[in-house]
Amino acid sequence: MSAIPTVERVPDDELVQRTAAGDAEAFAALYRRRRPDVFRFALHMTAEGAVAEDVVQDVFMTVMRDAGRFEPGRASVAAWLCGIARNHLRQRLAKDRRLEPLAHDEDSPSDTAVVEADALGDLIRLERIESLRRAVLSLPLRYREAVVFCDLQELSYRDAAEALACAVGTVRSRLHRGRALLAVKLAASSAVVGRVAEQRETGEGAAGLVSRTRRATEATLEPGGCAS
Amino acid sequence: MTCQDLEADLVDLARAALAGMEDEAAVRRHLDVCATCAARFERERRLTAGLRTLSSATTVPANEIAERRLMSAFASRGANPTSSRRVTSVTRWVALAAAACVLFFLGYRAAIEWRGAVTTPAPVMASKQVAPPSRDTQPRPAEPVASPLPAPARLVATNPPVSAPRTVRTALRDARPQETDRLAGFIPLPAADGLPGFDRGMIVRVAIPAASLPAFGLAIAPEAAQMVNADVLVGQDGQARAIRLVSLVGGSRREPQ
Repeated sequence: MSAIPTVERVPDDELVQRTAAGDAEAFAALYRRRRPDVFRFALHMTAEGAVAEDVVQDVFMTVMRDAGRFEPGRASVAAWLCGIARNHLRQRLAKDRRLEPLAHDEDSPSDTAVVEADALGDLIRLERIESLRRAVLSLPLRYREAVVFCDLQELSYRDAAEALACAVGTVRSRLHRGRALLAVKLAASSAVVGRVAEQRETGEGAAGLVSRTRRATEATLEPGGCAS
Repeated sequence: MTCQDLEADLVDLARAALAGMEDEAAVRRHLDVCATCAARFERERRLTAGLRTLSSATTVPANEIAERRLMSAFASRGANPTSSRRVTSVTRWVALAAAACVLFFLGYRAAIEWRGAVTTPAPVMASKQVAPPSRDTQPRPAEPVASPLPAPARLVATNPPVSAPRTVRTALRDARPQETDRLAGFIPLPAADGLPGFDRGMIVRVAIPAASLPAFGLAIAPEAAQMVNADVLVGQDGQARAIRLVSLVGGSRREPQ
């Protein structure tokens, strides 16, 4: 005779179903298991812990109300929760533009300003991981979402597509574009770090340094280039 | 196969998203012979490693207060949230049904008004069909209406008249509760059996010879007057469908049998 599984071993899908039926224990287990995913997503998207906490609350309040609307065969519970989180976050971003200080179109001139303002002052002090976090935050929203879902949350393309409410091909192309932008930004940052000492020695202006570095790295990372 | 063909797969390979897939071998073969793509792959691989490090380095602080608040909110929703959802659903359906009824009623009313506007004869035409009411004058012959009424029956306007010919539906719609009796009591005419179904029509008051009443299945006291007032229900095709005895001309009303 098999033992009744404890709530900790119950699959996500069943926890959601039991939550819909009013099972408080299942809801608590779902919350403890999936809260980190939702929190990380919101934190990677905004870098604001308080906002991430708010999004977590909003998401699980939605789960409380709409658990019955989850369709098990369509996507994973993690993807479903991330999709809810994305909707709440977008509403939040729309209300509070302060949370979107680095959102801009790729290739816009403000890229230089971002590197100038942040990199020159901070990159020397910050660890490499902090540089990466900043680079992710500086991505335009649609690319950032794809990078966060696929590379930081490690969702499959299918689950990310469900969370983003778009096609798998769209997710894939956004992810690749987002990663290409990240590579440019990181290369620029690294180059800037390497040249800060030179700048201090020669007295070169910050804007000129960043601009020159950016041009050099973009030329290096130009896609394509060879044929076999 | 060009580098551009493999660009997307290169990224997927660096993310370990191609593991075990057919494309993996092709991409790896290309990397063996293309130094540029190999360097690109190495950058993508390092980027993937960095992103995963960032992900794992992100700590999630505990928040017991928020958790307690959520659990409290869940408990306060009631013992059976599914029931409450059903109630909400039922309420929503009832509201939708009510809205549909209102819309149907408004649409029906608009259709009736439109049809009434089309079928109700203009006042000029009505005056041709029904003579102006006259309390003092004797019933006088009016323009006959094609109907299975016996030949002696002539349409006349009497008092109280139907002020103007109206469609039955309009009359029904406009009738107040105390007036709906005016529309009751019609008995079908035998000759109306073979006619098309009644769609719309008019009530026309006529004076007919009392002697013709038995032909309509109506009985009248022997002492009755020579003429009686009756309402004739005339259909959309001008054919009489039903009759209702209203009163004796100069006498008391007798109900149809």
